[in-house]
Amino acid sequence: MIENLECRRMRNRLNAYLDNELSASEKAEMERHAAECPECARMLGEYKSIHAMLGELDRDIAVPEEASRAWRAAVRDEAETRKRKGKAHTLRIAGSSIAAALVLMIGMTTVYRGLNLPSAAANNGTAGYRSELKLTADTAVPEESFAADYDDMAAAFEEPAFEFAESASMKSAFLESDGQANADAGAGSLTPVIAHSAERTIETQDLDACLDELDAIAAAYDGRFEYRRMTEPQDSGDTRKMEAVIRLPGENLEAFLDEVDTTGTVVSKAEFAEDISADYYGNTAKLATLEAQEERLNALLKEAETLEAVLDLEDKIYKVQYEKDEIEAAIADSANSTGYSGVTLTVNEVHFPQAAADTVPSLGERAGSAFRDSLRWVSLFLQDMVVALAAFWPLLILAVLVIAVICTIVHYSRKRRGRL
Amino acid sequence: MQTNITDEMLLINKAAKGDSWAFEQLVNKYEARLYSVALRMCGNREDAQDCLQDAMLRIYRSLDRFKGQSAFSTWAYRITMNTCLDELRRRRSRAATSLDALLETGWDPAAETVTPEDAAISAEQRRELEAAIADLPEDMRSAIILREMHDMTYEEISEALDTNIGTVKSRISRGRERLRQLINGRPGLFGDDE
Ligand SMILES: [Zn+2]
Repeated sequence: MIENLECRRMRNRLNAYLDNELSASEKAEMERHAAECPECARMLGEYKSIHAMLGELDRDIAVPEEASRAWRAAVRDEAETRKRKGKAHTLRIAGSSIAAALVLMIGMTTVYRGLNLPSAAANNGTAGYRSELKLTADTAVPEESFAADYDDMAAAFEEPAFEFAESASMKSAFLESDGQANADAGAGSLTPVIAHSAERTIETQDLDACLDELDAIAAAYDGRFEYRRMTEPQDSGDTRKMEAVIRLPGENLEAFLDEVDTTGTVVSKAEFAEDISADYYGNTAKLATLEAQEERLNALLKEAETLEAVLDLEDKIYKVQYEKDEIEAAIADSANSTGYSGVTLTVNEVHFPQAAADTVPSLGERAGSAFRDSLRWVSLFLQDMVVALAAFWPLLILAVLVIAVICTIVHYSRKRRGRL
Repeated sequence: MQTNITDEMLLINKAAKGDSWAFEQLVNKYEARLYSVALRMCGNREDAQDCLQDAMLRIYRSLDRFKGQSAFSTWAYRITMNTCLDELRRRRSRAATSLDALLETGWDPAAETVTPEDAAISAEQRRELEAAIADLPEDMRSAIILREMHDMTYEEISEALDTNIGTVKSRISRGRERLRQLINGRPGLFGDDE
């Protein structure tokens, strides 16, 4: 019976029958066969019956209250944690953004300061150097190219972070130009006469030892003390102080200063150059005038006939000679300056361990001054930051763009990875 | 069932942003059908409850990745079905309770469902049918449940089960035949006729 072609077609169409995919005539055909074939009728009946019962089975199913409550609670829990995590995430993102921006700005400002650009000149006196002690060096030298060098040096000195590093090369630059200037001096043209000066401030705990050392150093470099003064303590809080001017050959200046710097704590350094051409050439011209005048007066004196005239002329000659002496002395002084450097040195004695309340500033004063120092430092740093921002904004925008692109890529790849 | 689609999209968007209230509004009308899938796949109330909770959480979590490629209901069925299959796999690896064991220890499928007065089929028929479904191999069971109990098209089923339509048709036709044999093998349903 099952081998029957009609039966086989019947079996093959059962699924299509249940799925309602048959035409009316195909359906009628199947039902006709079922009426004739009890085997197929039974099978069709069972298929239809199971199909109908399955459709009924869960038609009105109710979710147990416990199950419904359970998943709702789980979802609400999840929503809560997600909200909390979201907040934490936002906070973390905001925090790290601010930190990154700060690092970027500080790094940028530091790099900017390091570049030593001309616009970085606002940093005068970053650190709060104590200025109790001063040392000055002068040299006077006629020099052609000095003015330009001096401008460079002045610019270098305006950059405090590099003050100490720069000063060494500066000194040598300025000593080299000394030599050149001395060679040029004989040319006789109106070359400028420049007086170089430098300042040093040194602190020591043992003033006597320090002064002995300075004496030895001065002697070693052919220096002589032109001026020297000791200040004894006025009241109990004071300390001793020595101020001196040492004159020494210009070519020894650099080495001399290097050694001076080792005798104590150097608290400040400064070097200056002053154009004294006006005085120098003015005096020379004045001297020439006076010599001519003296010659004329001498000539007149030889021809003088009356005692009165002789006395008058001698009086005038005396005055002229007196003036000449003064001017010659001044010129000699300049000439002296030309070959020599005058080093003015001030050494302060400090007593760090002396914890007496009147010598050591109070905690409040110290905190106050530290606070003022830090305020000043911060304000200078912020100013530099603004200037650096102006200098680096194209790079900054580029960096921000790159970071944004990276963040977007990371975000999307993470999202894709999380997909089911 | 086919209520306002724009309303549904609105709820989906809100729920995708984490609004749990919108999510509950969204799935309220599918809750019973998803529970039915879980119950028929797992064969018992406790596992069905766990699967429903897992499935709801998965739907909620992945809602922001639902792009509307298919109907939301099909997508929800698919996640629920996957959750149940995962659970069955876990259960198999635990090598513990078989369905027969559950039946022997007094599992009563009829107790799961509706009040008797609504029933178009008798409690006896219901019990036989539930036992037969539970005895179907997994691949046929999942296809039969979606086709015969949830009236899904072959296309929807192929999306929900992530297989092609040919496979779905084969599973359904084999599943119907197997189900008939299983029921014939048990006394009570058709046995009286012969
Ligand atoms: Zn037949």
